[in-house]
Amino acid sequence: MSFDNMYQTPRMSSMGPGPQAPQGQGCGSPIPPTMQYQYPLMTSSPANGSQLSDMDINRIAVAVKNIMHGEIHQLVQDKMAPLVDCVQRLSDENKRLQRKVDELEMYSRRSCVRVFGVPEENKDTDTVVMTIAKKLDVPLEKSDLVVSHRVGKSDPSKPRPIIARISNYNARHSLIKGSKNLSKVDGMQGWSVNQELTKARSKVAYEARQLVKAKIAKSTFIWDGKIFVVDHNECKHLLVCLDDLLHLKLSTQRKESLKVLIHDIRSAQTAADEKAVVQKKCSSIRECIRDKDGYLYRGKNVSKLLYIHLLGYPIHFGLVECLQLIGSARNFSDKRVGYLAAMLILDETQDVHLLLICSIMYDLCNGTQYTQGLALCTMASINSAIWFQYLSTEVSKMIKSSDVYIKKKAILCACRIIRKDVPDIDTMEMFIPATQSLLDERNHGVLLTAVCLIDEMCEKSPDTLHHFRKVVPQLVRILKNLIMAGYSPEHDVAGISDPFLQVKILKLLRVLGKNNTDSSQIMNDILAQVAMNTDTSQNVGRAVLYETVRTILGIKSEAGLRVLAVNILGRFLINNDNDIRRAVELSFTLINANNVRGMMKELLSFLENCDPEFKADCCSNIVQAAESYAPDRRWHIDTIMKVLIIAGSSVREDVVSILIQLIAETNQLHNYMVQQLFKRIEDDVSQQPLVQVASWCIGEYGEKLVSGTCEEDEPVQVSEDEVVDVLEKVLSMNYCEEVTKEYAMNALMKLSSRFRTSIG
Amino acid sequence: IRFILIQNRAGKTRLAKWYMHFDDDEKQKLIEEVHSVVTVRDAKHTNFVEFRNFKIVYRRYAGLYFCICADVNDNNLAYLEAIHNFVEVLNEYFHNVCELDLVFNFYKVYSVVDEMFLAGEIRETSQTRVLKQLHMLSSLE
Repeated sequence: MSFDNMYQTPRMSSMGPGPQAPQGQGCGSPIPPTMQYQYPLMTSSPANGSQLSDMDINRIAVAVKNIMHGEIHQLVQDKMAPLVDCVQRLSDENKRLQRKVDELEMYSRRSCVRVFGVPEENKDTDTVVMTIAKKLDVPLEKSDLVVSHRVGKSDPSKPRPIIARISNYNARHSLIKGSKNLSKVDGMQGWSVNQELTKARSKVAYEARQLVKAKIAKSTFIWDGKIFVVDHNECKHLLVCLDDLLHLKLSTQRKESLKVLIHDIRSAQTAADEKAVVQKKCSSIRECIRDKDGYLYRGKNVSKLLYIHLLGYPIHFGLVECLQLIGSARNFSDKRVGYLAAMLILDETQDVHLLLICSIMYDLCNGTQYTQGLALCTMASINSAIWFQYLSTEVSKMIKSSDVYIKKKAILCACRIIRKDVPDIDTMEMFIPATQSLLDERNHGVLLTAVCLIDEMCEKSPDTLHHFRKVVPQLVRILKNLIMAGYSPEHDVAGISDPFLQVKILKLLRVLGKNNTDSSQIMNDILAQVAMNTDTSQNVGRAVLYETVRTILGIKSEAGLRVLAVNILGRFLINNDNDIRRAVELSFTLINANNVRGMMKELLSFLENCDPEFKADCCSNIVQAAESYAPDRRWHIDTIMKVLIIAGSSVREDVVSILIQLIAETNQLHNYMVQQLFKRIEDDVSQQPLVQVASWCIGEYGEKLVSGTCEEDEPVQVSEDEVVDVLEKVLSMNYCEEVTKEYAMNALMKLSSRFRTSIG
Repeated sequence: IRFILIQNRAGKTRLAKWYMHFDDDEKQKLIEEVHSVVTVRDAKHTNFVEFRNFKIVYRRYAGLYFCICADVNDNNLAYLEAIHNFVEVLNEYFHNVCELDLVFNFYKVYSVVDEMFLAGEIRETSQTRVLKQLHMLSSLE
């Protein structure tokens, strides 16, 4: 798939007859679309043909210049081409000849060895070699040693090496091999025996040793005059000249696997180290990309780039590489890496992603199951409106495909499309017919995604909501099957068959059943069943139940069902796990006029048992809920009082003032209130807020208390003395707060003006 | 789901899958915020945290935090289960997975994520199916 193809995006082609690249630029580097030649727009020629304005002259000049430029370039190329060829040929020949000479020289030197480090005093080089051989246990005969002498310029600092020609192949090799043991022989430390090499080759050997030092290659050795390098993949490479070495160096750097890269980066100790390593790796990747063989290693390069990106470093230079990879991937894993890169690096705001439309279209239509899947995946992740415009028809076709794997992906993709709200397309129209049949599928994955899709559609538009009400019975049936079907090992999570599907269906039922009595009625049964059968010992079961409860409370369910829901919530609350409690905070939001009494009962009992840290939150929530939904005043005040009694100390201050305000407003309940409060604080003065409220009340309505009349309950016969006594008690308590004492003082003052008898 | 994050205790991101559009610096900020919120909480706290206008459902496995950022009215417990499902699949696929596995085979981890979650929703819940699919994919390499 040629690279140019990728740039023919619909947007590009709509730009009219694009200007052509001039002929001379044939070296294969593609022109990025943003840098196209800006030919001056040839608007209509001047109305009067004879007169030329300045602008026209300019235009003509520029056009002429461009033409000339093109012509000259062409001429130069023509002349140069044969010359360049010739030079290239000659240099190749030169290299070949050099190599040949080197080989010939080497052949003649093959049988020689050099001994280093022998001091100049040892004049007889023959005996030196013989003694070395004896010490190393090498069977060297006097006859094998053809000739030996010192060689090289005499140097005061170090002794000249001895060169010796040994005709016996085996002896020579054992001598060289055993040379490293010379350091163990006393008197011969610092001596070494090496193969004789030509000047060029010894340079290569030196470089090879540097490579090993730099850890690019694993090891190097010389055999029979040939230099070998073993790289990290255990491959032996024969090096003949320096070029080979460079080539090897580059290729090992390129072939360096992802693992090595990750390992290197991770071994950096500090952040600055890591940055340096990453820089080095980036530059080598950049080199590799630029190199003409770079395409072979594209997959590796892109995955390396991805890792670096994951660490947070910028990799803009590699973006084009990633895109190219998707188009030119030779096998599946390359393609996968390419798509992954696209998903991670691109998103809809970058124009570059438009370039991928072609590849994706191609893959969607022609790829194997897996490539299709990949393309769909990428589409879904980068939800770009433009892509969806062009590709939605493909996606809807795929929903109908028989391959389950593709179906699921396509459905979720459709989900995304709908959520995205693409202009110009009536997405609902497209997808409704496809989804009709989806619910009949038996595959859970498909069901899951289909339910998701329907959910999405209903959220978007109320018409589809109507449309899908019809499928409620079907959904109910599916749910029933799930529960009854017993043990299905594939989807089982801790004993509950496919909880995810259950949850999703329940959610959808809630959406469909809102404000619609018919559907709600159908659902009642199944909801009750689910609620009762699910096992709550595991988190999974609780998840399902939670969703059930939400659904029950969300639709117009019958009263019995609601009671059931409330009971479940109560059960949740008793559970000590924080998760459950937190999850039940939802219950506060779900309280509405219908169920507030039931809920309150549960909540109050919960309040008695829960941890202190949670109490404060809970209290304020209860108070708030009570305020919004209280069926009548009396109940409201009762509830708040109960709250104060149970959780007095953790209640916030504003609750007190709220309560006081409430009481003040409800005239008819004053008697009742005062009596109740008095009863309470007679016994127990420890709950501060309660005491505060009580003292205030007594202060305000003291005479009502004493008068002993009350609408309901047995009136309490209280004398003024008793009232005053209680208040005094409050004042004298050491652990009462200041505020409470203030309240009590206030109350006393008020009473003093109203009570007839005297106060002690 | 808005995004899925796997971070280690030190704050290094092992996997980040975004289902919503964010700029690069926004992403970085989000990562740091999530890390600071999630590492402070110990085992006694609940696994759900309110975060900006979403909520995070997270679970800690050894030294890694698996976080899913979802909408406020989504089902928390279901996502918690989804996380556990995901971890179990990883365990099966890599044979006793550890953090190093996730680091060295990060592209494979992404393919697992794509198998189980797509476009912000749970896609496949059956572990056997997912594993079968993954083995087929790896045989293609």
